[in-house]
Amino acid sequence: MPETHDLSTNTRRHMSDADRLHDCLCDAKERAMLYARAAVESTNNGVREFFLAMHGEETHNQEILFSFLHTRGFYPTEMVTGDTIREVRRRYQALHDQMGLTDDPSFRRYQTADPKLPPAHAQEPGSFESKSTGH
Amino acid sequence: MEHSERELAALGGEHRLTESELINLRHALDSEILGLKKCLHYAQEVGDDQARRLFREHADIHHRRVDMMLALLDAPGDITKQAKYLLQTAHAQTGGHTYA
Repeated sequence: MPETHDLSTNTRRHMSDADRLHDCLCDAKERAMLYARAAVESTNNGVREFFLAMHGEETHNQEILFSFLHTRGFYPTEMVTGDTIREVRRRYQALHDQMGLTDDPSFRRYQTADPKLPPAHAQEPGSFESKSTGH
Repeated sequence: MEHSERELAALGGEHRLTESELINLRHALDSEILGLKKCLHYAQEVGDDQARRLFREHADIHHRRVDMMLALLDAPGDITKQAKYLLQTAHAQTGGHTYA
């Protein structure tokens, strides 16, 4: 049976458990942005995919830390009212209407610019293994 | 960008990463090592068992990433193939849940 503990209780050095979790959450957010920036600045396709994978995992870590705090009441969030949402909707609908667009947007993909290789996780397991051990 | 065998031979294993990629890898390694230290330290200090387990799990994640990035820096030959190979290996080891 896990020991239950008040997360807000300050333990050693004036940091509570919630403070420590908040600290790791802040780090996870920063790291997720670091990996996203690293991915868009990459030239090598594999390095880009590597950073994107790290970014995906880090956003997952961030979600877990947030959820841990949120469900225990240490990261309260407030929902906006329906009026606020409708006001934003009205504002951007007006901007859209001012542009005078008549046709629906197409779903065309920019196939000429698509990477030739599919993402690593979509390829046969071990497809790089024999090539990589040859060097 | 993939290099041909000929290009690789000419490069002699050098120039596999751009300056920007290497700078970002260094930043990522700095961050992961600090994250690993923090998680291990907090796991010792924390009073809540579930929080302790969470810190330990995150420490393992940071540790694994540090290993992967060191392997990426070590890897000879085409960096794209090595990066994808590392991701595939990690993907298989984690049962396909983490890097997909």
